[in-house]
Amino acid sequence: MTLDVHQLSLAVGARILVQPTSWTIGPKECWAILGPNGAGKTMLLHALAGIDLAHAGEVRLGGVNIQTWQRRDLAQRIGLLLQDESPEYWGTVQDYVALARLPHRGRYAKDAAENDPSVTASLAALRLTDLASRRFRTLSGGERQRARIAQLLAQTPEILLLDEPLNHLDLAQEIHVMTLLAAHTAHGGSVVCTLHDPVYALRYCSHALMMYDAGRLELGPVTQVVTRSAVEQLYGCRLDWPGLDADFGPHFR
Amino acid sequence: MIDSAPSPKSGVGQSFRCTEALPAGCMVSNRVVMVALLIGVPAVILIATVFGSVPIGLHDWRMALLGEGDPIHYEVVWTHRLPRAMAAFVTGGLLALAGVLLQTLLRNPLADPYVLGVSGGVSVGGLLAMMLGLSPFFIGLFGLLGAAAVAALVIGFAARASGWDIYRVLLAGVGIASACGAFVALILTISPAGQIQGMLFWLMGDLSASRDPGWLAAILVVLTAIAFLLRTNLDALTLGTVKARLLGVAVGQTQTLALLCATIATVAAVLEAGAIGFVGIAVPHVFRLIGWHAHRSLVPFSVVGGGILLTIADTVARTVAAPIEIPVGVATAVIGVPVLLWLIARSR
Repeated sequence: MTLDVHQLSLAVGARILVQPTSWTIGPKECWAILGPNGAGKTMLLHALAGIDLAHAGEVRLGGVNIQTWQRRDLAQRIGLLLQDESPEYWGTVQDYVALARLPHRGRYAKDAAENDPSVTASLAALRLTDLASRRFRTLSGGERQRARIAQLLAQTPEILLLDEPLNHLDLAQEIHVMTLLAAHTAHGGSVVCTLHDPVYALRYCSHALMMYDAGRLELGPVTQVVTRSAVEQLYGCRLDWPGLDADFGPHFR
Repeated sequence: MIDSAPSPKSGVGQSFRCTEALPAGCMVSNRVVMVALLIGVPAVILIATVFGSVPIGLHDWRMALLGEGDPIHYEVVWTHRLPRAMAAFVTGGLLALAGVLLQTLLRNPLADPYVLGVSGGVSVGGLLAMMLGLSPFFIGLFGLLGAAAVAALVIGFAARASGWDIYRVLLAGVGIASACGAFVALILTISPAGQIQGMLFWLMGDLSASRDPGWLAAILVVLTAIAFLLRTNLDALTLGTVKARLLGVAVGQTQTLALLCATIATVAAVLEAGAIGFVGIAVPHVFRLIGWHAHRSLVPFSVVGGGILLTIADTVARTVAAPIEIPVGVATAVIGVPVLLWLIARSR
């Protein structure tokens, strides 16, 4: 399904985070959102997920305004990984991941979703099978992050929105998660994620959206948008990193 | 410590499921807990009718239960002890239910039925009626009005067009509860000395006035059924309101219904028996500590477990120092606190 962003604008008080902009997030597209701290990346993702109303314009899923969708139907199609969540959960990792099946279960379905194939599969995808019966609250920060991503995948939405999916992960897990997201797009899904490392955007994403001062957005195919000079301007610092030179880009792809 | 052979379906064919999180023991299976609770309910209620200030031998007790033998024994067992045991059971169930719901709604393990402040409203209303020298009916009515006033205030502070601001519920509740505490102190200070003992007795709460637990039981059944229907939504709410919405849960509706249930349960329990502590906060945690966190188990288990705890506590309270009754809250703590501490110590 296609997510149409139509004249969307975001603001907090008098501060404009996104000037009215329209674009389309289609199947088989992986979008990286880049921007300095406080640029409004989280708010933008929340607006795409339809849980933030503080904006003008609209987001349409399958041509229908996201706000008029039933939340449950929406939850079957769009999932959002929140940036930060409380580690307070009493059950096991498997119980935690199984909660994602909620929007798919019939009203009179048997309660336990722990053995749902997508739960087992997403635990395996995030290499959590051995931790499945551990209590969620005993996990380390990185393990918890993987459990949260596993929960998102177990929800089996076509459109994955992820707010800093690489938080707390070690290098190998970062690459693994980005590979999983790339596989999701390769299978026809869409991904929108906020990232702090432009190299990951160049290597794994097809498109990028950069959030500049005063709500100006630059967006398009990643190799056109994520250039060395653009990234230097975005973060306001000089970079000495060959990986960001435009002519070096293809080596990462 | 992790399951070496994963069970095909949880709880089926296995009484115990080991998890690394509970190294000292195993998660007790659903079926074992259910059987224990189902046997426990009639057992504690029957046991409660054996004990009391009038000694009745086991033989006489059995005759009395069957409606034979000494009519005085029949009278004691059937019209005093049994209704009281039932009232204790239902009150304990109501408190535990309110505890489960509020701990989930407020995402705060320390929430208990009294954080909403409604019990403070009952106290202020009831004491005002007593100060005015009104009859027990009006004491109950004023208590109910006090609870309604507090609930309206808390809702007024916390209800937003966009849904409930759950932290405002907590803050307004705690604030109003302490204001009620101050009012209670004021009323006790300015009341004539002759009334104070009666007031203190009423405030401390006891089940000795319970005669007709039928309406209370009906409330408990309805509220438990509503909470059970909300079970998957409540599970999702443990992840926070934003995540719950993302999983398709009607968060505002669920919060409103669950808050309403918790409020009604608390008011009913406080009107019946006064502000009995500990049950509401501890019973849900006992079940979480032995591995039952999902509301499909947590709600029914806590209701029954709370009922059993309070029935035993009330039996102890009116027996150990008979004919004097010790406050049931004391007995609840004496029985419940060691169990809770033991469970905390053995879980990691």
